[in-house]
Parts: sequence; C-alpha cells; structure tokens
Amino acid sequence: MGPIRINPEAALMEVQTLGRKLAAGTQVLRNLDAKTVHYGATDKEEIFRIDKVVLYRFRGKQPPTAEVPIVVTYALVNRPYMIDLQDDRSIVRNLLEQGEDVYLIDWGYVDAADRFLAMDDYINRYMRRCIDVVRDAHDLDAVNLLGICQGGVFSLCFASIYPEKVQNLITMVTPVDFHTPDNMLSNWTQGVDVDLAVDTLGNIPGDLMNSSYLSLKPFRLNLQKYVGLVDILDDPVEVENFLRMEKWIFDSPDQAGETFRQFNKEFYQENRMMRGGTMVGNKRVDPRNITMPVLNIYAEQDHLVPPSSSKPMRGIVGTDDYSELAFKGGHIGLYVSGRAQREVPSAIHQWLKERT
Amino acid sequence: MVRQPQGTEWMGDWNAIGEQFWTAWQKGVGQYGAGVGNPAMEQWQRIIEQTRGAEGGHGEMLERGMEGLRQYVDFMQNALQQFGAQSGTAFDPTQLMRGAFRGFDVRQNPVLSALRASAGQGALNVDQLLDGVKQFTEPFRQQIASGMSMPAFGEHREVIERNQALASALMELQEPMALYQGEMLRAARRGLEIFELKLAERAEPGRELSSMRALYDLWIDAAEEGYAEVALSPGFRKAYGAMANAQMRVRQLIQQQVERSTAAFGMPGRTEMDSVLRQLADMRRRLGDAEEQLGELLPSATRGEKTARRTQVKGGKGAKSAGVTKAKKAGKPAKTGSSAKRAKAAKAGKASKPAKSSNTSKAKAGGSFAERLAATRSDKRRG
Repeated sequence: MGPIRINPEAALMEVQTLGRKLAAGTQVLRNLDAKTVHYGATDKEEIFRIDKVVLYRFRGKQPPTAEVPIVVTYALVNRPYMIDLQDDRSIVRNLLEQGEDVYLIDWGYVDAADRFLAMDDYINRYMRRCIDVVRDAHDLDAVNLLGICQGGVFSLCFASIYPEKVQNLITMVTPVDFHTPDNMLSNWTQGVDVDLAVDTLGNIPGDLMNSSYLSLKPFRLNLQKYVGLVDILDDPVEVENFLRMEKWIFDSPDQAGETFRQFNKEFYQENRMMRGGTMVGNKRVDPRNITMPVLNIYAEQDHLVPPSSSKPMRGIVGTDDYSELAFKGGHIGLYVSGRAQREVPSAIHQWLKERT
Repeated sequence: MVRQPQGTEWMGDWNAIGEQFWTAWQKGVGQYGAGVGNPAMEQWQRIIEQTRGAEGGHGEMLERGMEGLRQYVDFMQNALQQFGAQSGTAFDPTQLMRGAFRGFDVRQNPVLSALRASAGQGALNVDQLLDGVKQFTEPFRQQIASGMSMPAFGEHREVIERNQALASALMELQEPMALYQGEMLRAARRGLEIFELKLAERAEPGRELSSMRALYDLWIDAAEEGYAEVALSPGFRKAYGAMANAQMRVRQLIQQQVERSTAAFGMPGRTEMDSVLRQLADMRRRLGDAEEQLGELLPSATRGEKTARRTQVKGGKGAKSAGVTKAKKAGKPAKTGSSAKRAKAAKAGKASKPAKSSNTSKAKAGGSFAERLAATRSDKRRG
C-alpha cells in the first residue's frame, strides 16, 4: 500500500465535521463579546511610575512569605500580561501561591515622544529606578531579578552594571549568542542596514516586528493555527482562550528607534554579549561581573530564541553558581502551557529558596 | 513479509480508492444543498460577515483565519479531485500542491501566501510599507524611461537631481525584489520535495495517513521545513537584507520629498520633529536626574513618598529583610554570607571562574523539572 489510506466514509465525515464545527462556531462567536475576553488574572497595584513605565506589584490571595521580592523585566516587544494571561495560565499567580512577592516593570506603549529612548534609558534609568524603589520599599540592598527574552538581555546588562542590586538572577528564553546557525531572526538581521531603517522609520512599528515573528513559521502561525481553531470552535471556553492568545500576539507596541538600533546592531549583528560585553550609556556591561547566582531557563522548541543561543550564557557569566534548565516546550509555552504552570514557578521558587 | 513500495509506485494506489471516494464526496456535498461546492468556506464567510464591524466582534482574527481555512479547503478539494477526477492516472502530489495553491509562481506561491496571511487588518509588513508610498512613487516612474541619467542644469537642477535619485532608487528596488521572490520560490519547491519524501516515508506499514487532516498537517510540516532551510541560508540573508534596504531607501527619499513640499507650507517635517523629540528626550533625562539629586540632597522632599510606598508594600507583608538588609549608615552595605563574597568578586572584576560542569539539565532529563534543576545545580557545585 501507499502512504494514503483514507477511508472514503471517514473523509466525508471530516468534511461534515468541518461544516458542523463552523456552524457551531458561528453561534459561539456571536455570543462571545471580544471586550469581555479579559486577560491579566491577578490583581496588581501601581507602586511607581516614571514616564510611561509603570512598576506594579501583584497581589496574591495570601501575603507573600518570601523575604526578597522578584522583579520581572519583560521584553519591549509584546505585552507582559503573557505571564498572567488567565486564571489557569499564570506564572505570576503560581509564583504568588508559592509565597513569592512579584513585581513587574511594564514598559508601556512607545509613541513618537519616545523615539530617542536608548538602552541607557531603559536600563540605567527605568530599570534602576524601579529596582531602587523595590529595594527601598523592602529595605533591601538587592532583589531577585527575572528577565524574559529581550528583558532577559536587559537583566543581564543590569546585573553586570549593578551586581550589588541583584541577589539572584533568573533569565527565561534569553539569548546571549546571536550568531548560532539555527537563529532565523538573526540570519535575516545580518544584512539589514539598521541605521537606515531607524533613520527612515523612526520608531519601529510593532506590527512590522510582529509580522517578522510570524514569518519565522508562516505555515504554522498563519495557516495551520486557524485550521486548528475549527477543532475548538464549538467550545466557548477554548475559543475564549484562543482569542485571548490572539489578542496578546497582535498586541505589539512600537519599538523606540534608538533602542532598536542599539539592540539590533550590538547584539544581533555584532554579538557583543559573546565578545566581552558592550556599553550602555556610560556604563560598561561585562558579563563576568554577573557574579550572583544565575538560573537560566530556556525552551527546547523555541523558534525565536533557540536553545543554542541561550545556553552559552553558562560560559560568559562570572558566577560560580549557574543553573540551567531546559523546558520541554516553545517560547510561549514556557508561560502558558499546563506543563509550565506545574513546573516553572515551583522550580524558580525552589531555586530561590535554596539561596535564601 | 510486506514488500515496501518503490519510488512513486504507491501513487497508483490512489486510483483504486479514488473513484469510490469521489462518489462519496459528491454525495456528501449534496447534503449541503445545491451550489454548495465549498460549504466550509461559506460557513466561515458567514461568520465574518456577521461579526464584521459589530461591537465586540472578532473580525480581525477571523479575517486572518480566512486565508488559513481557504487553503485548507482548497487542499481538501484538490486532493479529492486527485482521487476521483483523474481516474486512470497516477496520483501526483505535485499536482495536488499546484492545484491547492494555483501554481508555483512568484504571484501565487504558498510561502508568500502564508506570509501574507499574517497581514490582517492592522498588521503591517515590508510589502505593505512599500504599498503605502506607491502614490508618491507613481509620478516618478514616468520619468524613469526619459532622462533619468541626463545631467541636470538650470534653475531646477536640484529638483531634477532629487527626482532622478528617487527614480533610480525605484529602479534599483526591482533587483532585490526579484531576488527575494526567487528565494520564496526556492522555499516553495523545497517544501514540495520534502513533502514527497515524507509521503514516501509514510508508505511504511502502520504509518499510512488515514485522514485528510493528517495529509494537510504533513504538508504543513514539509512546507515549514522547506521554508526554514531556505530562510536560514546565506542566500536568503542576502536577499532579505537587500530587499529591506532598497525599500527603506525609496521610503527615505520619498520622506525627503514630502518634507520639502510641506516645509513650503510651514508644516514641520521629519527632520524638525526629530530635533524636537531629541530635545524632549534630553530634557526628560535631565529632569529625572534632577529629581533624583534633589531626593538625595533633600531626603525630606521624598520622605513622604517613600514612607507611603513602604506602608503600601507592607500591606502585603512586612519586609523582614532577611535577604540582604540595606545598611542604614553610610558606607558599603553590610552584606552577608555568599552575597558579600559575590559582591566582592564583582568589584574585583573577576575574570576567571571555576570550571563549569558541561552537564546540562537536558542530559539529566528523566526526573521532574525541579529534580532536573537540582541536578544541574549540584553538578555545577561539584565542578
């Protein structure tokens, strides 16, 4: 026999099921108001604000038991509610339930007034001010810093510049070696005249960035995903989850031009992190200054930050207490999958507890 | 022993079930009523129409999904046609792909189609950026043929030179665009090659495809693999960069033209805006620095704010500060334990470090996440 053993009756059933699911979906979608598809499961309060940047503190059902809070630094692309998407998919909620005290630096939405914000502003001004606020509020010299993706790179920079302010550093899906052969985004970036792009566009449109990310896996992310949607169209809860995720994917803030310029040239093109570091403003970033304990979590099926680009962190940081964890999943699954909820917060909590 | 089909020998098997299937399909379609050749798409279209523009609707998502579903249904229909309509000829997956995506040329390429699918309402890609400036470029196209390289002179010499520069940039855009399209075509063809290989693999007993969806998913896997191979190649890197840069050059020249035009009417252009925005950024930095310095010089000025924040934070839990307690007095913080050592090492600019274990958690896979984490840590300490 050949590779195809499709029973005609079963195939017909497939077609009929498709039609039935779409018909049911009509009703589900009609009854589902997009405005009622909420995201952000956990209560949070504003602690501090500087320009468009807001420092939040999440509120758990119980007061935190951890003595040193975690400050989460997210990427500039997309919005940070990915880590607190919904009740049953919230890394934040699960960290709180473990007794952690969780803060979040929300970069906000960039507009024209932010065109000339540089990495110096993000790291030496916004991050430093937010972390100083937490340190001061808790009467601590150092806090735990958790950086995600590009926020992880920012956290590495911060921890190198201000090691005395970081007690433990956790990085998630964070690239350090941008020149590995499986890094598609990096391959595309190498030939782009970043100066010309920033000088022309000013801030980089978030939709343009998002389109690039979707182009990394165009068939899965633009076609197959929606075929898969049909499978769940008759399930309002699943459809709501899908819409929530869809909302997050297409909620892409613009990128401040100068920061985009520096990040892409110095990291993507020049691979500075692997070459001893860089300068952020007038501060030297040298990964060997990262001497606090480091937990680096990467995702094995990450198409945005391949494991090969994250694992070299082990070799460049100065700490002698480096732990590394491979998560069985993808870049987003690390935050929203059921496995992530079970494994990631407890692992972070345990790792921190051992260092208290 | 079951003999494995050789080469494309398995293709002939399609015919055997083809006619049977085609009959079943026609019968099934009939259940949806007259004129419903594509019932699934009609359903989807209906949903879009019902939600389009409606308060709280999901139009954008549905429109994005439209392309995916359209391709899926096209795929199914073409497969079915292969089953039935081509009775007497061997099943050819190449034909299936050509049918599903209406041929493999630069205009109707499954890869480009997939890429365009991301561009629903509100989305933006490089192609669209260029589309947005076409209204400005069209007049210059007419000048391309005539006098693009003629020397400019006279009163309007600079204007002519600028127009020539833009016309030239537009001409130069064609080559990288063609290069990029060529890479996309290469990706599509490679996807098809991989699809055929994957199909051959599935001829193995027990691994056959038993549903249309499985066939579609296999094609998606193949298309994605083919695309990834090309997208990671040096050729694609060159084509992508050249195309992006050429588009930016055109866009920049147009911006400059527009800026000159608007300046004549006293309206600020990009250069002026950038100047103001740069000053704004500088002022924000200086203001921020001044606020901080004020706080240091006059602690009373920020005391109220800090006290309020501490109270707010302690509302959750009092800061027991058993971590690294902040020193209240001047001088270096009284760090404790390993934290102090780490800080000392940091200050010394520690260049060397203990040998690290090459063991990663992946190698330790098998236990729980936390166990694997503990394993990497202890390995490290042993190292």
